[in-house]
This record gives sequence, C-alpha cells and structure tokens, in this order.
Amino acid sequence: MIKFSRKGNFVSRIVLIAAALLLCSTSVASAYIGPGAGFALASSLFVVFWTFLLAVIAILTWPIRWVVRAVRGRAAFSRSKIRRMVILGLDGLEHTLADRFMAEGKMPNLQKLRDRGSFQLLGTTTPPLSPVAWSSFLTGSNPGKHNIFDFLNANRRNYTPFLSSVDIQAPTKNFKLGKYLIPLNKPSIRLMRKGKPFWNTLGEHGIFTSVIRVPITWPPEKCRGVVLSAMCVPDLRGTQGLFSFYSTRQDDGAEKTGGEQVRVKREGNFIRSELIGPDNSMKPGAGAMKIPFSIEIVRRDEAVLKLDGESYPLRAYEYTPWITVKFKAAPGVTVNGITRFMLVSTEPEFELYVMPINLDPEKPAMPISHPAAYSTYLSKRYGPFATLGLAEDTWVLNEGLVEDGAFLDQCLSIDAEREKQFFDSLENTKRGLCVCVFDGTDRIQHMFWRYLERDHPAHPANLDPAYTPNRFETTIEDLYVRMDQLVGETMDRIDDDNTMLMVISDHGFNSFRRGIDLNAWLIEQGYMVLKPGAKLGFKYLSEVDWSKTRAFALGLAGIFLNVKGREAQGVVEPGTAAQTLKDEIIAKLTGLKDPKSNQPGIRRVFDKEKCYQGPFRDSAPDLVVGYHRGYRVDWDTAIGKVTSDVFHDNVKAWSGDHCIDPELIPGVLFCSHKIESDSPRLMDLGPTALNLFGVDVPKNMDGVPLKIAVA
Amino acid sequence: MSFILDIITRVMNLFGDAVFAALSFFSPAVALVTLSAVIGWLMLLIWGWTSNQTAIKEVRNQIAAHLLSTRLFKDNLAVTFRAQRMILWYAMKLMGHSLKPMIIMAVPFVLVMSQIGLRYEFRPFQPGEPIPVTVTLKPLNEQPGSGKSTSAPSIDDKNEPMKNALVAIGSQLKMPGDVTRDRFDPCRAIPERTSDWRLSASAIGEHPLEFGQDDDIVQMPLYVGESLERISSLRGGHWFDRILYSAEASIPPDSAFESIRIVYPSRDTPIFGYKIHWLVTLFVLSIVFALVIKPFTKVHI
Repeated sequence: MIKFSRKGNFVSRIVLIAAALLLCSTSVASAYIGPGAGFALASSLFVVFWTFLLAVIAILTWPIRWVVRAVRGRAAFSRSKIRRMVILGLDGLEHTLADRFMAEGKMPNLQKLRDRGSFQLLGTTTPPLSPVAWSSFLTGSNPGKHNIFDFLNANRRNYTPFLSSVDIQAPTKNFKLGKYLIPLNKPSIRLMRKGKPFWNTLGEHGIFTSVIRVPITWPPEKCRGVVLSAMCVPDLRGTQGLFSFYSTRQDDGAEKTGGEQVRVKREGNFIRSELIGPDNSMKPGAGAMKIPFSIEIVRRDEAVLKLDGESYPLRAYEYTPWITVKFKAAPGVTVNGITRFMLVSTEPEFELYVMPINLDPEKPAMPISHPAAYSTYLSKRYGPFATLGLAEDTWVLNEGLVEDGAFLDQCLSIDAEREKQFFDSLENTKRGLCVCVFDGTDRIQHMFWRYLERDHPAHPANLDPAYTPNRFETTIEDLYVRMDQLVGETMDRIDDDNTMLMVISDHGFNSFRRGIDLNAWLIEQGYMVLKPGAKLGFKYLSEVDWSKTRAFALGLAGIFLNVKGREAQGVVEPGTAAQTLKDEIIAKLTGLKDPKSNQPGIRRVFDKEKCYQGPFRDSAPDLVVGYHRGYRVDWDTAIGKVTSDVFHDNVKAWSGDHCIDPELIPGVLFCSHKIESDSPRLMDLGPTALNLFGVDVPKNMDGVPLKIAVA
Repeated sequence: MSFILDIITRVMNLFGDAVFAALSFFSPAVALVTLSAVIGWLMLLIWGWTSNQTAIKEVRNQIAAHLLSTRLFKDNLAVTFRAQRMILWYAMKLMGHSLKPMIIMAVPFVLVMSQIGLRYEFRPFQPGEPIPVTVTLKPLNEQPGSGKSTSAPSIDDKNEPMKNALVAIGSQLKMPGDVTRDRFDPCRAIPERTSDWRLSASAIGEHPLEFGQDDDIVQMPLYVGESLERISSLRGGHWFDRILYSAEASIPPDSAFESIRIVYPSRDTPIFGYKIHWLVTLFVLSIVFALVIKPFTKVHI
C-alpha cells in the first residue's frame, strides 16, 4: 500500500491533482482512464445513485406512509399514556449499595431520579437467578408459566444437567457428497422459555420496541421492532463460553472450568499453535476446525500475533481488538467468529489468553437478532461486539489464569459496546419501548465482592500475606458511579415529558463466603447413596446408586426427588410419600447451621407446589433452597459432583452472589414518575408497560400494572 | 522529453507485442475478454495497495449500516431521512478515498490501454477502400532553418511561404506499386498547414508510405488486410498523442513535418453478437471481473 508521509503529503497531493488534470485534459485520455476511474468510482457512484433512488421513493411515498402511520399510530397509541418507555436494566444492582452511594453523593443521577420520581425495592423471583428473574420480567408471569427455574435443569431420564433455556439439535436431513455431509435443513434451536414477551403483545398493537440484550431472548423471537439476544447465546463452539489459554508452563492437570489450557513450545522467539474452533459438522470424524497462528516475541511482554495473513501487535495485559476468525468447513464454506487475544506474559513462561470465540455479529452462524440484519447493522455501525450470552469471561479469572485488571478491562469494553447499542436504540426509537440490560454490574460484583469484605475467605489479603491494598478495592464503588453516569446520560438523551424511564435490577447482590454441598448433606442424611466403592470427584452424579437414592441436588438452587414413574430409576412413590419426604427435607434443611460460625446457612426451603403455579411447574426442582446471606450452593453441587464436607470456604474470585432467599435480595426500581403501588415485583413491569401504552394485560400474566402518576 | 517518450513507448510496445503474441491464438473478442479479466484483477490489486483500506472498510460499513437502518426502523421517518443524509455524506467520503487510487491507477492504465487501443481502435483497410491521409507541417517559424518572426506577419506574408512549403515538402509522397492515389496533387489547406490525399491499395500487407524529400523524409506504414495489427493512425503530434499512438517513433525534431495521419476505419469487436466499442467492453468487463474476484481477496472497494 502506498502511504505518503506527512511531510510529503502536500507535495504528493499537488502531484496527484496535476496528474489528474493532465490526464483529463484530452478526451481520449478520459476514455482511456475509464476502467480505472470507473472501477474507483463505480461503488461510490452506485451508492449515491441508490441513495437518490431511496430518497425519491421515500419522498414520493411519504404522503401514503404518513397517512398509514397516522392511522395505525393513532390506533396504536390512542389509549397510550406515554409516548415512550425506556427500561434500563442493571443486572444485580444491590439496593443497599445504591442507598449508600446515593447518601454519600456519589450517584447524583439516580438520586435525582429518585427525588423526581420514585425508588422502591423490586420483588424478585424464586430463585433470584437472572434467567429466572428476567424471564418473569418479560413474560409477566411466575416461573411455573415460563418454565425457567435455573440455569440448568435435570434430565429425568439420565440425571444429567442440561441448559434450561434452549434446546439445540443438529440438522436432521443431510446429503453426503464425497467426504462432506451437506445439511439440507437448518439446526433446530428451540427456546425452552415459554410465554410471550410483553413487547410482542405491544407489537401486536402496533407499538415498536427495541430490546437489547435482555436475558433469555435466544433464539430471537419475531416482534414488531428489533431484538438483540443475550444470555444463553452460545459461543462458536456451542458452549456457554470456552476460553483458550496457551502456555509453555507444564499443565497442572487440573480441569479448567469454562476453558481449556493448551501447552505450547517456544522455539527461539516463536510460538506456533492453533486456534480451536467448533467441530466440523460437514466433515464427520474430522474433529474441531483449527486455524494456525504464530507468535513472535519481540521483547519482554511484547509480541506479534500472525493469524490468517494478518499481523497484530500484542502487549502484556492489553487486549487486541475483536479479530474475525474464519474456520473453513468445506470448500467455499466458512464459519465466522470473533475473538480477542491477550498476551499474559513472555517471561519466564509464555502465556496467552484467548477469549471464547463469539459468533460474528456481522455474519452470525446462528441467528442472534430479530430481524437477522439487526446484529449486522449494529456491527457495521459500531464495530464488532460481544455476542456470547455470558459475554464477560468470569471463568478465566476464577481459574486464576489472568489478573483482576484483565477481567475488569473486558467488562468495561463490553459495557462500552452495550452503551453504543443502547443509545442507538434511544435515537432510533422515539415512540414505543426501549429495553436494554447491562450485565457488567452482575459480573463485576460476582468477581470483586471479595474486596468489599476484609474477612471474606477470598479477600486477597487472606490468600496472599504480601497483599497491599490496590485499585480494585473500589471496583464496585466505581461500577456504581459509572452506572450512575450511564443513567445521567440516558436522562439527558430522553429529556422529554412523554418518556418514562425505569432503572431496574432483577435481583440484588450479596456475599458468597461459604458453599453448601447439598449432595454431601443428602448423603450424610441418607437420602442419597453412592455406588459401592465410589470415589469422590465424579461429575454429573455418575456414581450415585439410584436404586437407593431418594433425592439429589443439581444446578444452583434445586433439589429433585427421585420419583417413581418420573425419574428413570425413581424409588419415591409419588403423592403422599413424596410430599412427606419433601416436608422432611424442608424441616431438616431450614436453619441448617454452619459448624464454623454456628450461624444458619439456609434460611428457607421452598416447595415447588407452593411457590409456582402454571403448566410447567412439574419441570421445576421439587425443592428450591433459599440460602442465608453469605451462603450459596457449593460449586461442585451445581454440576453433580460430591465432596466430603457439607460446608466449604469459597476462596474463588467469584465471591459475590445472589442465589439466596429472594426476600433477602430484592432488585431495585427507579422511575422517573411517582409509583403509587406498594411492593412492586419484577413480573409487574410487563403488565405496567402494557397498561401505560393502553394495551389490555393478557389474563395469563401474573403481574399487575403498577399505579404510576402520569400527567 | 521526446527521448523519454520514445523509451516509454518502446518498452510499452515490447510489452504489448509480447502480450498480444501470447493472445494471438485467440480471436480478437476472446483476447479482449481475457485482457479484461487480467485488467480487472490488476485493478483490484493496485486498488488494494494504493487505497486506505481501513478507511474504505469503515465508510462502507457506515453506508451499509445506514441503509439497514432505513429497513429496521422504517416506522420512524426521521431515521430514514437521517440515514439518507448520512449515506450521501459517506458516499462523498468514499469518492474522496477513491481519488488517490484512481489517479495512481490512471497512469499505468493509460499506457496499457494505449497498447490495447493500438490493436482494437482501428482495423486495417480493405483492398480498394479509400484511404484518407493527412500531412501537417509545422508552423513556418518552427521549421528548420527559419528564424523566429518578431512581428505579426500580414495574411499574404503568412500564406505564401506556407503554400510553398506545402508544395515543396508536404506534397511529396512515394508509395509502393500496390498503392495508388485518386489524383496526383493533394488537397492543401494553407491555414491548417495540411495536405490531404485519398489513396487506395490493391493488395493486402504493410505498405510503407514515404513523405517529404531530400533530407526530410518521414515514413509511415499503411496496413491493408484483416489481421489484428498494431496500428497507429498518427505519427507525431502532441506528447500525449505520442503515448496513445505509440506504434510509430517520433518525427525527428529537425523535420518540417508536425504529424502524419492515416484515418483508419474503426474496428468493431463483436461480443456475444453485439457490436460494442472495445473500450466499453473493456470498461464493463474489467469491473465485472474485479467484482467477481473481490470476494476471494481481502480488498475493499
């Protein structure tokens, strides 16, 4: 590529202009430079032509569109009390912290919102988990009607966990062409969340909606407006986020949750390896698709990444921009993804972190928005962005492979991407509903809560005697201040009387100091029995003797009974026997004391029959555990592992959580208008929006419209 | 200048001869299509090297995004009109980014196109077809041996010496036996300093025509036949004509001749049965080929 230096710029421009004038000075010359010039200008002229055409069409059809819009708009908004409603979701914003920072004057914008309108606690769901809570928010109903009870649910046929919100099946019809298998139909991606989002009801009444990154909206459903999916969108490998860590260090053999470690060899200043992509479904038996890359170490903590013919500079603890990676599945068929690299160190060991490979929003391998072009629009307008459901890679920090700063930088850049998308939706949706959820609040609190409590088992001072206080001590405070600034900017952009702004969180946040291994407790109490000779450390309850087991725990909140006729090897008689067993477990678990502190670790246990209503109640865990502050289900229980002790110190970076008794952890509701109702709940917000736009609330919704003073 | 032009044209002629020798197995139409493909590919390469690809990609992304926004937010007329305004703005920016590669590309492509033009712009004469030939002399004050006039001459003063020059030098033409002229004396236009002949040839081949007398003789070949010849219809002329009609060497600077023009008939190179000017064919096909090749490269246009 020819590049002119700054000094030579003026001269080169003069030369170019002179050359242009000379070449155009004769008619024959004009003709002869035609293809070059034509090639150069064809595309831009085409764009100009196309734009003019569009403008002409828009102007000519404007009167008709105006009439149609006026008629439809009048019908749509005829009973509406507001012109626009903006719901800004800050996942996991904790009311006690918000109160504290407002009192200290650190959150002036939320304070202003509270003073002008209202600030109330917002009732969350049982259990207070994001997929459950946001599903209740968007359907306006309890989990018994939307079928999401946890991140994971138990497969009753084989006792294995599965992702509760979505079911993905490979294409069923294929055509074999040589060594390739050509799919004739698309893979089936089925949303397991039931119920209709309230914005779909609004859309049916002609009201436009922009929905950005609200959890449990994948696969995207059709609506009148735009939807960008969030939680549960997989990475390119089909997982919920699998990082890669390349290191010359001898692998300790320990399993890396949420990622994989690849041992590499340094040859001089070069390291060569492969980026691991998804399995090649078009070439059976070929395994994962890979893209070779090399790293040249330039000097200490500096290197150059060479991938697919391009070079990218790497500096320690600095992320590359999003890099598009193309995995070749078959001749002419590529699968696109995007990822970011971060050099961790070059000395004494080489270490490189690669974020999970996200679906490329410009050309997603699976639909991640409605209309499909919406993600393309956002990508082209603002650049590539994280598409993975749980975009912030908490696992790599939890595994201790990168430092706190690397994770924080990732969260900040993802929030910055989200901010652009949110403000774009505000700009483009002047009438209707805008909903956007920021999840950085949740992830940062999960990972940095330990800094808030000096006596937290995971506080760095308790793990490293040489620890000295650092900037991360105020990470959560900085987060709240930053979110307050976001609210302030939002208020500036929607500064009109006809827009209602709500700032909400789906649940609050608390400390996670001690984990409770429910399966260990079930074994201790004789409800679960392992196979003879079983050694601890197995996963997915594989060593459980089902013929003698009456209850098991899986996921973040649930205990399942092994019911005859429902579970594959059920032993508990349904009906009275099952109810008696449930009551027995509830009685024993409620108030279960932590031997270390003599404090109760479990506050309440909920019977699904009492806390859920609806057609999908049977899919729920039989019991939902409401932990006390500071406690949560142990890491191992969630994936069906069993340990020797019931209580464990949590020394992982994931040190804050919200999977406790919902009464202890309500969300927040700030509103630009006065809310006259008491005790609002998350599931009331959908009906409230419908009511404000003058749309009748469907009878199957459990939520009720809040009384809000609208002029 | 003349020396440099001669070097450039000679190199280009050698290059053109080599390329067309390689293409001589094909019909003129197939050769033109092949050339269009090669030129399309070359244009793409040069474009990739000389343009600001990052900026072009960004501008094109913005154009695409605003186009999409008109579809995604069609309920909102303000979005549509804002998008159109932004598309126009970015289209202008795209044109701005196109300027530098366009100018850089123009230089080599004029040379390449002139070589193609030598073969495709004109066809040789058919036997018996009238052949217009025009000789232009230099103004008197630029002719060898004349001093620069210091005052404006009268019309009579100006006409008489030029008439003499046209009779003495400009009307001298020697032809081989296969070429005849329709009358002995050429038609002279004194103000234009030209002598015009109407010739005809009876045999196919390259017939050397010799103009002038004594020490001031300039030759120019006359082509008669069917083949794809390297034909210059002009010898001499402006510096740019030298590039466009590079088959012939420059006229020596001490000659009284300014230029010699043989007005060959235009060549039609039918493409898929349609008679289209070669430049149009090349223009369209090279762009089409470039667009077809583009997805296999990393070039943004």
